[in-house]
Amino acid sequence: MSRLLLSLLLACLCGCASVQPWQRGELAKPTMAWDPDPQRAALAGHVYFSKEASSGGAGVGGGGCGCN
Amino acid sequence: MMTPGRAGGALASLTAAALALPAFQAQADAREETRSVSVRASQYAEGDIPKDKTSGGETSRYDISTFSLRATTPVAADYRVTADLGYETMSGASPWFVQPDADGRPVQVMSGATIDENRLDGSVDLRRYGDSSEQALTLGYSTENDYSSANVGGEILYALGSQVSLNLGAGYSADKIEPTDGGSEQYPSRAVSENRHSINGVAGLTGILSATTVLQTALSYTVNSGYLSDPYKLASVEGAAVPDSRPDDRTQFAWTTRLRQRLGDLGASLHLDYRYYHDSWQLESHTLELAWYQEIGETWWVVPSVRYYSQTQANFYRPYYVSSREDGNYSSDYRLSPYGAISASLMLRRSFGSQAVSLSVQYYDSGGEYALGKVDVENPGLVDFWMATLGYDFSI
Repeated sequence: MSRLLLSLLLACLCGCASVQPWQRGELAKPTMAWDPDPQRAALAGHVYFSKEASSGGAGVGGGGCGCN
Repeated sequence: MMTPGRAGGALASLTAAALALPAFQAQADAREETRSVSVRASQYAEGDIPKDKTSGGETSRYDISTFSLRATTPVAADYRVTADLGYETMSGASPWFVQPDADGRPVQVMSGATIDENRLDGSVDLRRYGDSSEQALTLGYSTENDYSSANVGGEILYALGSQVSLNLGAGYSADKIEPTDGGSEQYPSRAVSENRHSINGVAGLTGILSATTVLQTALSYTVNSGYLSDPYKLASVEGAAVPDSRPDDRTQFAWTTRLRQRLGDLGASLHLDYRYYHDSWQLESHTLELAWYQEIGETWWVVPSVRYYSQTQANFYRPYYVSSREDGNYSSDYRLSPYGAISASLMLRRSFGSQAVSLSVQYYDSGGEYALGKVDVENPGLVDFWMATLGYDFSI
């Protein structure tokens, strides 16, 4: 697993093309955001946190609740 | 007055400057100069437990109404504050414990009385945008009748050249649990007052793979300690109901990868998210989520999405226990059982200038048959639910 993670990290570092600033218009589209609707994503994340055993990976901070 | 040529040049320079951002700010949600207010009202309803999976009596489960408010504004140069406030009311019965029926098949015993509960939570995020780095500090607090949680988190995003950025974060949470009727005559074995703590660290990379593709991958590690059991649940051990009892520490590891692919010819963006999870209770899971953001004209979004989830069981979990365990850990919580889940949702969004309204509907179905591995005995308390969310956004 650690080798797979390392490979992916290296691929991310090495696989990045040189995209010039004026070529980034498509990346700036609102639908290309990591979470175009962060409140909806937070609500869904809270439901999954309270109904499933897994958590983590959605940023730092945030606390528990009596739902879990 | 500028000549047309100069105005065009100024606009081009401004656009180039706006787009000449490090990888972590290449997307639209970063560094906006607008103020905005967003509200979301959500209704969540769990499906009834089938009668043949219960010991009789109550079969209906939780309904939850949620209201959330977000306000965000730039403050001073290069700073932005975002405040979130959420309120939810919950009502219904929840799984209490599992016992074998006459044939040894596990059946769910529900909490006898309807539980009414509400929760209020708020957080404030202060973010500073630099030329090659971004820093954020988040403070949050959540309270309900029997639970309170205070948390703090910090995050740094740093550009490693123009195509890749590094993000590092850390968080801490302190929770206090004071269960209703804890230690009472009716529930003498229920915990009275307990604490738990959580420390979390995240490290990740964001890379621009092409003019239409961005990728983010991150590792997350969390150490939980203290009271990690559910004070309201019991487990059936050798025919006797004993309190849910879990180890007082749990380390959690998650590896998350997110891809955003622009399909400009179709006016669409594809979102692909994957998470691998493993913890010290030997529970492992895979989560895969796919969403298609279809733009129609300048004002509409239609967003279908699907999500798949599969987990193995915690090492001490059993639907019920035919003999006692040396470590004294017992839990029949369906959330620690092996299962899989499939979820589908559809969101519609229409913008009107600086305003937008949205509606989304989601259905979630879980069962042993969806798990990646074979599930010999499915927990009878697995949940299915509907959720609908109405949203309104206003920005100036």
